[in-house]
Amino acid sequence: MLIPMRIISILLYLIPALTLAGDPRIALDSEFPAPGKAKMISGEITLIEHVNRRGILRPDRDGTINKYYWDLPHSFEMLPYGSIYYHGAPAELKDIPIGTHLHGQFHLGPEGPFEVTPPVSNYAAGKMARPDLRSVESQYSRAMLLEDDFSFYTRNGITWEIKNITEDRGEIVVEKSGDDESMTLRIDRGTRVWKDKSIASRDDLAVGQKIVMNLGWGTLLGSYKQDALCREIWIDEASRLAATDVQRGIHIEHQKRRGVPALVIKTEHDPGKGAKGWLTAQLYEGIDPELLEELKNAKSVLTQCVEPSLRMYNVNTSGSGRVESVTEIENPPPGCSGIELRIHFYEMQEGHRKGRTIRIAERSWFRPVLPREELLRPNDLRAFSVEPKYITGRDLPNSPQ
Amino acid sequence: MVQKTLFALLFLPAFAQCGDDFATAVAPFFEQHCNRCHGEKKKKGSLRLDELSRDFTLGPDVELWHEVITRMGAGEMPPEDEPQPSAAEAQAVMDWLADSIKAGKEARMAKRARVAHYRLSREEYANTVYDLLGVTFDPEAPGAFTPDPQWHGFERIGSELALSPSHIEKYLKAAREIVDRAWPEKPPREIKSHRRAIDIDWNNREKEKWIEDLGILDQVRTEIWPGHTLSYLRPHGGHGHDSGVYKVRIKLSGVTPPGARPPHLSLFSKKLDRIIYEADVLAPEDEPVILEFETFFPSGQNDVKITNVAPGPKNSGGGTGQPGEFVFTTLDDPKSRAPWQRKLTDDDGNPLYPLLIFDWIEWEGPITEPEDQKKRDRFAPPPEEEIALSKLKAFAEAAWRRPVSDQETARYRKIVEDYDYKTGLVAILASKNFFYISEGEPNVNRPTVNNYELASRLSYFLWGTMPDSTLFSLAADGTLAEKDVLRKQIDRMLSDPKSETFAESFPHQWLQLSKVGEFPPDEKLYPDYDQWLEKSMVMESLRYFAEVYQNNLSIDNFLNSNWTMLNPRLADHYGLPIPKTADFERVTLAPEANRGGLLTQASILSLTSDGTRHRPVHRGVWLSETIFGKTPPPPPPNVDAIEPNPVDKPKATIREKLAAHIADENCAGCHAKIDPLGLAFDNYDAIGRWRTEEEVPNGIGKNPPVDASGSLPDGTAFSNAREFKEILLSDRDRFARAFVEKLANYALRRAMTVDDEAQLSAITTRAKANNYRLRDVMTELVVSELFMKR
Repeated sequence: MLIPMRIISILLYLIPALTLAGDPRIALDSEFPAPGKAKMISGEITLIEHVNRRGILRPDRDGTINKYYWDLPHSFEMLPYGSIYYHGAPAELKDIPIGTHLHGQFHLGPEGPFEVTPPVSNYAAGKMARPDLRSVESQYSRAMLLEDDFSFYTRNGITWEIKNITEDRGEIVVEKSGDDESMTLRIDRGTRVWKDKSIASRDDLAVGQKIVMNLGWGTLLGSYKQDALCREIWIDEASRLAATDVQRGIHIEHQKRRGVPALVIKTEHDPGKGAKGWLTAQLYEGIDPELLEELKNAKSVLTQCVEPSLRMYNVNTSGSGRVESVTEIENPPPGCSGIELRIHFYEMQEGHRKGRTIRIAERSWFRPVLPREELLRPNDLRAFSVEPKYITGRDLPNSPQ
Repeated sequence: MVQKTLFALLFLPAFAQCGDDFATAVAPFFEQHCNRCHGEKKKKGSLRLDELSRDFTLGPDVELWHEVITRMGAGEMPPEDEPQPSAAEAQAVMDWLADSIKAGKEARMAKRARVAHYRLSREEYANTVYDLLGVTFDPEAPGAFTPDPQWHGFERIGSELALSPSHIEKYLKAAREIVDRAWPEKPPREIKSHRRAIDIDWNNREKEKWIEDLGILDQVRTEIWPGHTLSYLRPHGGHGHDSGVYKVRIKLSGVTPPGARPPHLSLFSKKLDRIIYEADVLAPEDEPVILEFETFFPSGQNDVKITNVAPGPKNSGGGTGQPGEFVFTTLDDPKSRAPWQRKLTDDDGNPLYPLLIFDWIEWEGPITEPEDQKKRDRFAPPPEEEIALSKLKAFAEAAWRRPVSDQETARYRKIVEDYDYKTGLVAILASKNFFYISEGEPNVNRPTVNNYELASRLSYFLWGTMPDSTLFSLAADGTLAEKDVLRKQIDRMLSDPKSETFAESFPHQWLQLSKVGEFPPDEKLYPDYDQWLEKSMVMESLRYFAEVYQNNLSIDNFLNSNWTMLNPRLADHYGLPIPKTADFERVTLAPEANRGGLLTQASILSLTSDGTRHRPVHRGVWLSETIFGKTPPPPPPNVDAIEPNPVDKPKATIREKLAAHIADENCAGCHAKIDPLGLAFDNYDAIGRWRTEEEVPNGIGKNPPVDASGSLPDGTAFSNAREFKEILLSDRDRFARAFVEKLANYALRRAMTVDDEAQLSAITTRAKANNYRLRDVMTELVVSELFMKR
């Protein structure tokens, strides 16, 4: 009796989780994770592979990591339902400049909480230049959420009040609202100060202003709280709203071209009708109300089966279906928008399976052209690999295309 | 009893009525209504009815009598301004004439000269060649023999199998090919090839190295979804190969969605222009089966295509090929299929379509079995001339199935002397003595067949081929015709696997199964109809007959039963539970299945339909001919066809339209006899599916309910096919009598006449003692005087 390969592959995928008795910290591509199990890690983004939604953070020297292990790279990949926010609006990695300080929530990957033991050394890890050195938190490689300071503080209703400005306007001291926590931020000629809907200058900064800022590199000394370089400062509400509005526009256009991602919850087939049937999917967190409204009114939609990285195979591989219902579910799990669609297909595709991610677009959204490197077909132009990468049975480099 | 008698009268065989005198039966009618214009005085239309010959065996005047029927049937005669006979009177005259014409025709057909010649059907020719030389000859290959003409379905009626110059050419060509294949100039090149899944999958062939590096080369299979065809299964790559029989083995799985019918494997030869093998495949994905068969291939390059003939998407859609890194190994492996391809399994792994999963195919041949070689060795070209001549004579005797005189072989000896031995054999095979069965002697008026003729009659009846050595030696001894010997031989022959030929050939001809699919059903009206269904329909009837034959059951089973033979395709068609095995199996039928016997089999119900609808009249005619041996008179010419239902009128059944159509009294007479026989089966549509309402494409309102009730001319009423079949069974002797006649048509290769009536009845009576069990009926026929009659 052969064990079906699909079961084997699922088992392989689940083995770490199974051996860990369903460790809720582990997040899988095929289902939304349990709430409250992600680990907070923040740091500066030092490498972005936006096509595959992967990257590397340099974690903050926030006092949680032994100084000998400072600054080691923390590779991550976005979970399919993982979201990114920039300037207070949903974003893609490519929207974020390298060097931006980000706050993240991370889950364990399929390997579970494996041990990371950097070699014992009296030297600072950074001086060893060993390519295999990695952050001691590397197990938490599955990003559920990444957001810049702007988004993070705005989401949490936090502003910073300028308490002091040095005479040469090279440093400002800010204090957190509702808290007496303070930071000394360095500013320089490259720091963009936003006032109303335009760029102002450092001269427009004044003690008592309540600001939101985005930090750049800031951990080369003891702590970013002492040494953070501030790249952007919004000194009033109008400037903040303008920034958010622009980013929202960028992301809406991005999703319209590609469709909004969703997790397939189940499929149902009419007996004797072959691949004809119904697909139920839940949209990922971050769906813009404008797009949702269009989807609700759509008579028919196009779907694309995508990789967990949300990468599309080809613009010509879409399926066509009719939206039968759009409903809201209560208490959606993390990563889920709470919006559920039931779509009828005359012919479902292989990728229309429970646990797979698809992109859904109102029929007029898709465009025939996308940046070539985003497509996996007819061949993958991104041959290089950014960790982490989980090798499964049939994956070999240089697959024929 | 009254019912039976009336029923018998209704279907009294034609020649029984011919005994009535013309003068008393029809002459008064002509005198009263016709002869005033078509007599001595007027001769209208240059026709004098009073001078037409009363001998219906004479050709030209019979044609004129036929014209009389058609004019009367069309209501043209007598003319409107003349006194009109009653419809019953006119009908009686038309019936009398039709029966007389039929009897006359049969008498002409049966009228034999001192020597009667019966050409072998092409099936018999091929069987004879194989038994003679162990050479498989394909008479249906393109350019080989043309189909044999039929007489009421029978393909071996001597008077129908005429010979034309093109036949001679084809016989000569065939003879050369057969001798060349028996003794080729050089030994045929044997090939043995093994083609893997990856070899026939065009998309994956280029990726073999990569697949090998993955270590899954031995796991690669090729999925074939419904309607999907893959080529390149050819036996010898792109190269030609020698003609002959090839042994084929194919390994594959066939998976089926829950409750659906299985995938259907079809292997098509482009060169032969036909399917060389087909079967439903029921084998789990991880338990593939190996199917084996043999097929004949002509020489040259033979391309073979594999197709999954099952319902499914018509287009290839996103289902084509295995792009990129996707290589099929199992349905459960996500890397087997690209995410954008058509979904083949549901989320629980159940197939959504009937799928074939191909592993490999092996070809081996041309093969020659030792017993075939032995047959050839008997007549192999010898080194010395003298022996060659003696072998030549032996070959002629075997091929011509009788002793041959030196005088007869002289011309062939000359050919051997002038050319060579093999050319002599070709000439013997191209002789009429080979492809004709001859009975009688030119100078003697012999009433019975001799022992050699009996041996051939027997073997072509039961085996469809030439006599074997046992029959020849009994013929040589002159003992074959002895009743005891004959009975022993019948038992032996019926037990021989060669008798399967009878069990297949006779029902095919008797039931006129070659008409199935003659009018392919409209694809829009019957989208579910396909070639495999058509073939399955025919196979049901053949397997049903074979089951009766093998188990020596009563021929009552042909009229009704509580069982049938079903394969998955047909079970699905009938809406019955689908059998677990791919082949036909005997299935017990519940009354609600509405099946049982031959008459409610899809083959019978569809062969009498056209491509768009069922035809009750045709069903009635078929039943009358096949079950009662009674051919109704043909319809008059220029009869308007039944028009489709108008879009602005309420939907009406064919039955209702037919009733309006035959309102004319002149038509009603015949239709009253024929139509009830067909209308009884109105619950079955044009492809034999059960229905309770008749689907009418155009018109207003709902589809009308089916009314399958009716009554016979004697008033016996029935409400549906089941009751009708019970009425038939209550008059089983009548059917048995007709069946015996059909058997005799087949065995004696001729129509029966009034002269044969007494003997046919005697055979029927004797067979009744054994409850009309099929083999006993056959035995009684063979040991009868009729069978011995030349």
